[in-house]
Amino acid sequence: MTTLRRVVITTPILFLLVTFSVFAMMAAAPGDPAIDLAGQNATDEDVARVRAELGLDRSFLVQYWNWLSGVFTGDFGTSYSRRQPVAELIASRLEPTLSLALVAIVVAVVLGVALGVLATVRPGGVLDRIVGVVSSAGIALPQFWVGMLLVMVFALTLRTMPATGYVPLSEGVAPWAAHIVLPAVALAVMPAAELARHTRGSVLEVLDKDHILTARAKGIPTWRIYTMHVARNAGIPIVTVLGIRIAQLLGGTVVIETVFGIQGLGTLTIDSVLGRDIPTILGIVALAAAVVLVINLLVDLSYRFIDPRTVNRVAA
Amino acid sequence: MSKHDATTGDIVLEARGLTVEFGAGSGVVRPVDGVDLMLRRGEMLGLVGESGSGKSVTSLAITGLTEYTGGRIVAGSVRLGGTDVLALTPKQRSAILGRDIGMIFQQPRRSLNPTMSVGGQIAESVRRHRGGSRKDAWARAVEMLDRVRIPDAARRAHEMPFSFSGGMAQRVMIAMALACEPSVLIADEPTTALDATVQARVMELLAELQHDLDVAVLLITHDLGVASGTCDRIAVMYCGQIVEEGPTADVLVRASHPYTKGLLAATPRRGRGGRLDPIPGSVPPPDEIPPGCRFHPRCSMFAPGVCDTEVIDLVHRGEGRADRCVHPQTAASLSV
Amino acid sequence: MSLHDEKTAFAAVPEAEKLPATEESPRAEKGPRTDTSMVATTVRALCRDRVTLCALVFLGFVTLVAVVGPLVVATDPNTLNLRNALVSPNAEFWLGTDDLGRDQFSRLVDATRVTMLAATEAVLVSVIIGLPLGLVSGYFGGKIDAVLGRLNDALMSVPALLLAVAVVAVVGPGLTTSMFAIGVVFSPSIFRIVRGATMAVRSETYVEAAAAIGCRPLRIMFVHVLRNTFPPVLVQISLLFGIAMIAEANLSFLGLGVTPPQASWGSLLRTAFDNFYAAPFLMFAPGLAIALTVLAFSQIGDGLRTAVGDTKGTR
Repeated sequence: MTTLRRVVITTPILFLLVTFSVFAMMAAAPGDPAIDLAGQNATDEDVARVRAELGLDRSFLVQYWNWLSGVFTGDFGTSYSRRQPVAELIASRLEPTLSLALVAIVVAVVLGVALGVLATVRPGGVLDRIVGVVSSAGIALPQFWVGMLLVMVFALTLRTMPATGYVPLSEGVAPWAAHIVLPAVALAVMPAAELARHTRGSVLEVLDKDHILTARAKGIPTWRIYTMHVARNAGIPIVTVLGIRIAQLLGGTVVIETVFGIQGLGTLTIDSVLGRDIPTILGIVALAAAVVLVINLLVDLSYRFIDPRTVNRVAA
Repeated sequence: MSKHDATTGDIVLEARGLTVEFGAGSGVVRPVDGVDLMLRRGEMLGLVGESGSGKSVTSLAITGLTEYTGGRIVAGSVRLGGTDVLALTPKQRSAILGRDIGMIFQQPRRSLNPTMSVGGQIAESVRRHRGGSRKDAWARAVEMLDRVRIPDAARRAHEMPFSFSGGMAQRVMIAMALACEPSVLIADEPTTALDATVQARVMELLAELQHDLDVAVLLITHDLGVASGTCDRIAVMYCGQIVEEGPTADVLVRASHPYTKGLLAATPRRGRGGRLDPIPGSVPPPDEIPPGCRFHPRCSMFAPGVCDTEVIDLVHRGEGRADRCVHPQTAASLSV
Repeated sequence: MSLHDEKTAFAAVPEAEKLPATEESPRAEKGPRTDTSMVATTVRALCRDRVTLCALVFLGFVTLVAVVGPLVVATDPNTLNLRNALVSPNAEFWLGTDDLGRDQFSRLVDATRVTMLAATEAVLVSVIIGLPLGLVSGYFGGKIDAVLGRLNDALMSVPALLLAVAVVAVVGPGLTTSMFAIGVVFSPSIFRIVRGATMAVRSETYVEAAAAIGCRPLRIMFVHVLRNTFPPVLVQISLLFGIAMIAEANLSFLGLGVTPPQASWGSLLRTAFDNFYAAPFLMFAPGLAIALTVLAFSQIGDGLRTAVGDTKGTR
């Protein structure tokens, strides 16, 4: 299983690379967290004390090593601004972002692929052009603007859905769903539009191939041509794009959470960046790197599932 | 090598006035213009022509598949055992394709779904038209693979097309096309992309299966040699029209249309040494069809005022022969 | 010989003379054309499509506004006038005012230049980084290509926004730095296109032929490669402009982009958000400005794509 072996080798390397780079960037940043944290009226001794507390008096590499070894034991350090263990902090904000992201992914995939396929049934026809316009619009609109628009229409005008906030699943599916719908849709519009375009392109390319004509000559009905003869062959490019879009979608949660006032990892990221809360930033970066790597792994694995030929060669 | 007299046997397929257009507005072209074809049970008809003659489009038009390649059938009918195939809705047509007409194409490895086992693809056709369980369909697939002489058929049925060579892949295509025992098989340049020795074997297989299954075969090819080897009758196409047809032996020996004679002169044949004589000039592009006889700019028998003014019709001259020439040549005037 | 051959390309040579095809013949290879004719053909092809033409005109208009607008508009975009805060659009304030009483119309015009420059910066950075590296990677191949390729893949998987946020965290907010970060994140797409085009040209037979008659390989590469990479890079650039504008909007919305009192379309949207319940109308003008401009860029990108012959693109 060369894919697995490749991933197992590259994952730790990439992880180290990413976290080290971020660590270096933070260390190179102007300003001194110790001074910020010690407060306005701190004396030099106070600052020195805070610095020792935070371990900032050690050398750069030692600091990184300490952090890294902490990671292996699950200790991501303590947040500068909130005096809370980073791991705990991140865990508390995980559920909203996860809900948002997963629902948005599902919506984007279902909507995007469906629209893309519909557009191929009669290329150049009415449906195709509508899908084209809609997907162009979807790509051109900033996600937060779509969010604001949705709030204006559904929450303010029609009063059907709440405008802000997040309700955990534990408090019931209905309230959770009501609060997650608008933000998830706002987040999903752009990836859905991109996916629709890519699906359309990929499917049209496959439909042009000789083996589809053979299937028609065999009298295979259209629906089956799509499911058995197009899907697997068009799948690989679509899944590749999907992987990239999902990674980007995670970036979009930052903005959407701000718009909808959701206390998730997105807003945590912004707060910690603006507040120079380095341990938290590192923790989030580590998590993000891990997630991206997992996504890539899933995409790679799905290649083998979709197209049996890739078993014999490295996925393109 | 004719197994049947040209006038016996039931007619299984009859195309009349087939006309296909591509493009729109000022860019409309007619690669097929008023083509008539007739296939009798158990006979092999060779449709011969250069690239650009419209022969492949004709084969697609017969099955109504031109709609998937951007063409429109603007005139004509195709009667298959009493039904006009072209008058059916696509859904009705899909019930006939594969069941009553089978088709194989030029690039066998590209014409198979790369992500599906060959057995699966054959079984798919069987289940589509005959229903039945997966097991039965698979068994039939293996049986057909065996019939086309794929060694170790039961195991190889599980394999993907990429592990088959060109010749093997074409056998798979033949197996798939004949799996539901159609009465007609359309073979569009089945051996053009194959090596010479493989070519011969595949044609041999085709002839054998044709005989065993009593299938009428429409063989499309640019190679007169291939056609002469196995076909009972030949129809020569040029610029979207049939310009000559008749029993193979007769056409080869007594070609009447100058174009056919030109093709014969340009075809290497065993026992005939000397130079090959290419036909001067080139096939006109689809938007620059010459008036009158379409071949006249390249014809050594060109008679101004006669050949370049009015449309020349296909004239039937009896005994299954026909040609589209104002002064057809008999064997006496030109040596072949 | 496929069905396409029948339709489109009648053989010039009688079939009897040709060797039997063992593969579908490739589309007629077009060697490098002269630069002027290529530019002329492209422009002409672009203008043929009405929608693309509209997009070009619209972009021209936006550029005009960016350059000339601030000089023409009467009201100062930064004048505070708290008595006129959050006024709905009327005859005096065409697009209304924000919470500080500033005229939104003049702010929109002023912001046009800022936004366009920001997008331009991001695209320039991406080309400056991606083009040479792509050339090197595609030309030399081997280890260099492997290393650069991996770095590229790693960069591609970083969500653009997060990287920009990280850079801002280090350097501090500011449109120039954040758009630089965006440009860095965009460079992999340019890199990939240039690398692909370079590799394709490198294996072209006419390059071998030219080398065989004595042309210096570096010169061949330079001339031919640039000519061949130009069209797809141009397509990508027009698409990137649109994406850069959205990125700027996102960054300014988060407060990581322009610094007040300077306005960009994104920061105007932030103001709209902050005053969402009191003055919901504020979100429309800047939002539409962004949407229409991005649409125009993507339409031009698609038009360019068809004009340079790649008809199987995503549209």
